Amino acid sequence: MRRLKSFASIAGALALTLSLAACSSNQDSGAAGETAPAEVAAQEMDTSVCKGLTLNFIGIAGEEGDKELASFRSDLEMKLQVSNNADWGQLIGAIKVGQEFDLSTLPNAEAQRMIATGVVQEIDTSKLTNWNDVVQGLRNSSIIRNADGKVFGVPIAWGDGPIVYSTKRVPTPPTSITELLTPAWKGRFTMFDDPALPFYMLAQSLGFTKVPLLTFDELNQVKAKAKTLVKNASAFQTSYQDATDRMVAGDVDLTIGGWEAMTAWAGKKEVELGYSFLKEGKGGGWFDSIAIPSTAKHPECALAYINEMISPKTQGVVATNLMSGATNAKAVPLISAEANIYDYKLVESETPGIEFVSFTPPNSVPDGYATMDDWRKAWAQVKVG
Amino acid sequence: MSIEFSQPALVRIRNWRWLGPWLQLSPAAIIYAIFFVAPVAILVTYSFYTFREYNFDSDLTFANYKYALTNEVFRTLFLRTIKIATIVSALVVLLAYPFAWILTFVLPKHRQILYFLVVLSLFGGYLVRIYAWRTMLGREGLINTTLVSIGLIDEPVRFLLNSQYAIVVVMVNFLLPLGVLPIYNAMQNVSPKLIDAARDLGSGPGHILRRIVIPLTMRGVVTAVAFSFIATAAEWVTPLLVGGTGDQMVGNEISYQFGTAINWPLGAALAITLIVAVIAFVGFIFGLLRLVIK
Repeated sequence: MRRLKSFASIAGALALTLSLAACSSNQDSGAAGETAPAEVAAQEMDTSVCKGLTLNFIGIAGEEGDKELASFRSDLEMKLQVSNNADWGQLIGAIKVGQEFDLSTLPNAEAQRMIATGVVQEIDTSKLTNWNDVVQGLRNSSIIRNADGKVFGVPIAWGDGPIVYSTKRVPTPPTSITELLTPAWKGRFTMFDDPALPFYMLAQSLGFTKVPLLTFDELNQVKAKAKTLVKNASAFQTSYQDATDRMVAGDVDLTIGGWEAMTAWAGKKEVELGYSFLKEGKGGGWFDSIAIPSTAKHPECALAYINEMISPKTQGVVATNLMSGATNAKAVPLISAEANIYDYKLVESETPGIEFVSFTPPNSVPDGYATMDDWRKAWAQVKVG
Repeated sequence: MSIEFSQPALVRIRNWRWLGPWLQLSPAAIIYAIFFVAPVAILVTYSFYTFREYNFDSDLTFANYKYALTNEVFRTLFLRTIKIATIVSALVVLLAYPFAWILTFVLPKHRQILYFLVVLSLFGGYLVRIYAWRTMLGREGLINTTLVSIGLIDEPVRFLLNSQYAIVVVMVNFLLPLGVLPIYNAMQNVSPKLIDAARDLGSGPGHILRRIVIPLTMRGVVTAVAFSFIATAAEWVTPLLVGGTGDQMVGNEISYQFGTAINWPLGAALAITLIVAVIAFVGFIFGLLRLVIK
């Protein structure tokens, strides 16, 4: 046992030395091929609370800092256990039944629901030394706050909502969701098994401007269109990776539920994918935050980890890896050229120029409007035709 | 020196003798109770709850069962599931029976190696096989490229993948070994001398098959049908990965209720209803097969 501990200490010291050398060489050359200015070095927070701990994360793959914070964890002899949820209901259910998680993804579309149901706890942003560097448009968002203005999530990534398509088989991408209702698109695209995006976009195409608030009559009209859309779709994709695989294999030509990262994944397999926007979804975006679930065993360490996630250096790498927008403005020079595709003016001002809408009805809706439960029942009817 | 027991002691020992077999069963029974009975009991209990705004209401109600049995959506999914499971189990038996016959009567010298190959195929990863079929059935897969290259079709066809056809092909491929094994084992009870005697008495091959071999192997056929039907009826991964948007089965809806909708009570009610429906349908098939044979 003593030999094992000695070996572990030597290995840890070696890893620390190597990672420090790598970090310093990265800082010398810069992740984006530029020299990182001194002011982008991460501000320090007391991370000793994390020593030797294991943090449990549940959420989207790639947003847990597994690769990006590997050296941070090894310095503190920390571990990270990752669970990736298949959908948001699964994440909420896991926390509600008492499973212990220290960190979770808080997507903008589900944030208010998760805050209202008490699955995430308040974050004391005064302890986050990097909080004030988070772009205003996200930092001040009401989406991550409860009615009292308390913060429940820290933004770590943002983006828009593209369609992704095979440039070989789709010379001109569609510009409206209504094009996908035509016979020309029969069996050529995939979508997620979720009513949120299709109902939202179809409602927009029908001119229902109050969406996600829909009357029952409006919901029925949306449902009728959605039946055609689902019949035309080839399959339900299980994940962004699944949709990418299907396009790389040539089985489908396009996905409605897309992400710019898919072009990078396909590029590794030497297949070219492009991305574009349907007018019904243009101007809309998403942002994911990282939150501390109500069942967290190590909330103080989780806070330190979150602070590290929004540091300029980490944000530069996260944005490069995920091809998403960085939430720390100081990270922008550190993002690779290929991934630096977002207009940061959209999120730098207090009123963002991009609309982070929730595609689904809120927890309580006015009388005469359809609830989320009504949307789910309608979706079940859409799927059986 | 012999030990003599008094009469009352002998009666006491005899009264407890019945306990012996049950004690021998107890390790398996305990495991069965923990890993099967208890989870099913929890599922049944949940099926009588309701779910509102991410909280469970434990006031017991039949509302979920009423919804599951009367809702048109679930009725459509159940019928589709029964249809696919029936087609799969019929195809499994139709393909497994001749293979088991070949193993038993045509290539008896090679039966061990062939039997081993059948068992070996069971160790192949389930997901790996599904993805392999996705590659073969895809638009640029082996089947389409072959058909295009030999000129049978001008363009790749899309219906091979993301269809009920693909679900059936994958399930039959996966379940065929489970069909071969019980039928093959049942065929061991068919003595070649019986077949020889029937031939000597003037029976043709069809008559021998119908009146001798099939009745004697019926138990194996029934087991193969049960394995295939039950496994297919509970499927949700295969329809998800190779089925189309209109090919979802009850398993997909159960997964949706437990996952996305977090409506565990309704998901539990669907699961229990599926179990009862499958047991009833398999029992019906058993009875039908026995009637046909008589």
